[in-house]
Amino acid sequence: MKRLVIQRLFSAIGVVLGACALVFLILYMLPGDPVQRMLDGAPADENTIMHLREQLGLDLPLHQQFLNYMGNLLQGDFGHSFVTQEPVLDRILEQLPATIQLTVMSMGVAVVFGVTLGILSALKSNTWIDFLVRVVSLFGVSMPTFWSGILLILLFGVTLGWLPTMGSEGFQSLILPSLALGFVSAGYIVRMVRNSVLETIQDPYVTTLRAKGLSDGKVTYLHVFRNALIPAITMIGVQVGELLAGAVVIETVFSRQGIGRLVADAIITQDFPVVQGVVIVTAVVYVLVNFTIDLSYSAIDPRIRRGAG
Amino acid sequence: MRVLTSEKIQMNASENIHPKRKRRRALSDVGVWVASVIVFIFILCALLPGWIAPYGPTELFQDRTLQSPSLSHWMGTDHYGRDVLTMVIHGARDSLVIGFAAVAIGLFAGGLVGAIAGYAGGVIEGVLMRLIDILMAIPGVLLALVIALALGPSLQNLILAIAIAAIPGYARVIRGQVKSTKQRPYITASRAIGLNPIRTFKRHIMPNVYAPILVMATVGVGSSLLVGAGLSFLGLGVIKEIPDWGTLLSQGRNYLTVAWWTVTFPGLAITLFVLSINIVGDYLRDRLDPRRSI
Repeated sequence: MKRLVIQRLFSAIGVVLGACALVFLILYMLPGDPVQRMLDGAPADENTIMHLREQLGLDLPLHQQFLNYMGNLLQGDFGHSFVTQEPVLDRILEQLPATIQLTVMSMGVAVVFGVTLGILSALKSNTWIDFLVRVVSLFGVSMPTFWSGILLILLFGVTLGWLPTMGSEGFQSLILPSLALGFVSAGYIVRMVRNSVLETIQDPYVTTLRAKGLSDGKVTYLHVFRNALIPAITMIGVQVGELLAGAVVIETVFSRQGIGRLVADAIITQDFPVVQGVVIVTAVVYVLVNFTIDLSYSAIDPRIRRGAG
Repeated sequence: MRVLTSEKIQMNASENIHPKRKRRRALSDVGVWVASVIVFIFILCALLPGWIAPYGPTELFQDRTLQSPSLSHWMGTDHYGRDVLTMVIHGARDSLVIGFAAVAIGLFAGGLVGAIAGYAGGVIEGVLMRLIDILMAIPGVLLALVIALALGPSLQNLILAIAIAAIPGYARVIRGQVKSTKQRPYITASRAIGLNPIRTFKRHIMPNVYAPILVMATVGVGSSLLVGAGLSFLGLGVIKEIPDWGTLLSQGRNYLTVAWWTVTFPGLAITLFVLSINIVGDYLRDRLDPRRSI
């Protein structure tokens, strides 16, 4: 078990470092010159430009720049915003709590609706309830979040006036955005849970349990659900990434604070260090969540633990 | 909540189709038919927008801006005085091009990586799959966003960005499929009789990979289109006279409170298309993959 944890931890660190390198390479391929972007068309003489290039380390060869960049990252230095000149990490840490709130709340929506409806759909398989749930979940995975978000604003904010449509003050402002965002993940989780329950029901051990004389209720609640929900946990890990990325759009639609909004604004102002910083922080959070899920997996399922032993 | 009864489980497990279930299957067949027709209509819109749309795409009704849906403008008009229905029909072209082209490129690249990794195994597989892991560390939409930002706004760049972000998903599924097929006895047999590896791959492995590829490609068109619409919405799309659905929606967003139709209909078009193609994808999955036909 210990060996497994260490092994996974190293591979997670490797993946994060790789992702940092990848983001650097993508942004290095940029056709434009960062100095020109910083100056934003303001007139500057050769000397100033030279000085800026030197200051940013852009006069160094690629590998040198890369090493500097990685070195700075490891020391928590994500560079400075082109626009406000503030350290990127400070900006991100300032905005992160709002996004985490949104992600957790959306995940809550997704898991509660997803698991409940998925199980219901499987137990009532091939009835009209199942049909209805499947249609709703299909809608969930097919709607663009910015559209469902806008529709929610129109309905609950503009027409009915029940809930605030923008800002990030208080719990109420979280409701609509997390519904819009969580609905998509709920759609995926419903489909996953439904299939998983239906598959588990056909496993030989279920037949054995039944042959032993266990009641249908006990078989379903004590054995089928437990095993069927294991794949759903992996799904949750994947969905965390989707939610973090989805926050970019949803925070814009609802004019909320958060790192998603930070990126959306940075795209418009071409503020690359900010974009780069947010993507890296997101990747770290995402890998961390999946690392934890990976471990909890082996804690839940003895087969995995032994297989790795 | 009712719990599954033993009879019901038996029904699920056996091939005996209950009459009620047969009816339901017929019902879902109708659904697939409707979905296919919708997809077909959208493809027609993308190919021949001029024939279908009631007005020209650049025609402005300046005296009739932001008009609600009426008989002459079924989906109303936007802030420029353009007919929304016409814009939605013309917008199908770029939106569908993004969806289909991104899948084609992503599937080709991802498929190649996955097939090489799965077939070669060993060090090659290890290296390729670590690279895929790195790509996967950044959530798809964000990865596409960074690439689109780096490449600059154009239709090709947008497609490329979405395609690259989709590579890991395709690569992993195809690798899995190739790996499991490789272990079948008939592959060993074909090797034993001296068929060379490339021929073995083409003749005996590829046919087993087609089904999941087809399913993934179908569903992928929908998700690529969604990512593309999202990026357009964030301003990473293409600024043109005839915008795609995502851009159309983001333009209409500023008039949300006075003209609900400018955002509702482009979004409805996206949803309807993606929904339909997902239904077709689900159907293909049920039909082509017997393990999932529950």
